[in-house]
Amino acid sequence: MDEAVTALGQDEDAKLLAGGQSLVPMLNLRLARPSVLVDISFLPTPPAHYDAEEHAVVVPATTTHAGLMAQALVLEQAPLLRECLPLIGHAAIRNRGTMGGSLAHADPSAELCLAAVATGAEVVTLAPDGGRVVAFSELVEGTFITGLRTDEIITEVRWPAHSTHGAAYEEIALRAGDFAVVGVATLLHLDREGMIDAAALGISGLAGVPLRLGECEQALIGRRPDDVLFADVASEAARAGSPVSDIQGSAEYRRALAAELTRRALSRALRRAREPGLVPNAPDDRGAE
Amino acid sequence: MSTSDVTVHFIVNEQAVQITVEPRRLLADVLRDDLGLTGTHLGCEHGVCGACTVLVDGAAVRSCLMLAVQVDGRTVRTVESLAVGTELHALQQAFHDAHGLQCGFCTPGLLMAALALEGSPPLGEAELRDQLSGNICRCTGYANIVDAVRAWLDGHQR
Repeated sequence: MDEAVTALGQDEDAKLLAGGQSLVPMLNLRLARPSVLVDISFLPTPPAHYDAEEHAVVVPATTTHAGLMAQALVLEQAPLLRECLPLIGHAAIRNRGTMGGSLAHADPSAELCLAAVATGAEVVTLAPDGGRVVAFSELVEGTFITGLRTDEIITEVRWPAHSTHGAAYEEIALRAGDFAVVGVATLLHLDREGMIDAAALGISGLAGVPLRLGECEQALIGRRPDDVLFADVASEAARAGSPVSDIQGSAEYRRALAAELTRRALSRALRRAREPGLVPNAPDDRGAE
Repeated sequence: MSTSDVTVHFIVNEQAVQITVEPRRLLADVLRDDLGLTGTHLGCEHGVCGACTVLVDGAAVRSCLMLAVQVDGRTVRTVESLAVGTELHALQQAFHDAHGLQCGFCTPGLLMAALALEGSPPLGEAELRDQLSGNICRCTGYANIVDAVRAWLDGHQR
């Protein structure tokens, strides 16, 4: 990784290549014309691990989505990752695409980007000056734009551990595996009386970047979870951002999706919070109420 | 800075090969043009259609999204590895029996995507379809393809 940073610093038109699932299409379409490609896909990737002291799941940036999906024990600590990883693209894409690559690319509809914003996940970077630790939500600056410098590489991603939370990720795409039109990520935790004492809620598709809905989170905390509460929060969530109308749908459609998907996500997260042993995201369970 | 050619050593269909290519060349193009393995097809060249699917170290990948230099030291398997002479592989026979192909353009990619499922734990209907969803077919409407792969997987697990 140190050599990669040096190589990136030597040429301002150098680009980092990891899984290539976002960069190589751009090369093929001649949308990107780097002078040099610095290939880190060869580097051995250590397994992800749960850091009990930091109460975080630490994932090396070159971990492929498929590689992380295979680490079941680690994913017990990061149930939102377990929910959203199978939704990324298709199997062949998951075999090559990496977590660092997905976050650095900052596609506004990307599952890992929304999950990172919703959970407050942090990225650790390597740079000539040493690097930094920064929340991904602070690193994202716009659509496909992050604050990463050209010679700065994400080396690992730290996800807050949520093993006792119920997690859910809902999205709608025109076809399975297409980029989501709207996505919703949520985590709920219940206290001993069954009241919500922690909540995370994020949404993609309503703005140029994934949004964390702090006000909706506050509206959930301290409340007894039920359909009325969830419907209210879903309406509130749908009013966030300022969605555009495009070929995938109108702004009104996006808001309608946001409300419905938020409602479904909260319901599913509640079921999971109440039954931690429930098999996560079984394909036949997706969208089922 | 000029791009100097890179020598790549890898295994294709159980044969060791060594080629020297420009780093910008795609794996799909090198398989087709340099190694004559034209069974791997190019449909979209930007990772959407799956016609270019091959196995790298046993995992399905889109060969139009890999640079040839990235398979150095790896094992690649293409559709040419299935049949032995004129004798069809059981998976190909299943496609034939279920009428899972018409024009055949998407077929190599689907065969390799299905092959990647060999040895996996039993798949439910939705899971099987999900695993094949990365390949687009313009002709068949997919039902016979799913039937073919199901028949082949069931035959394996017996």
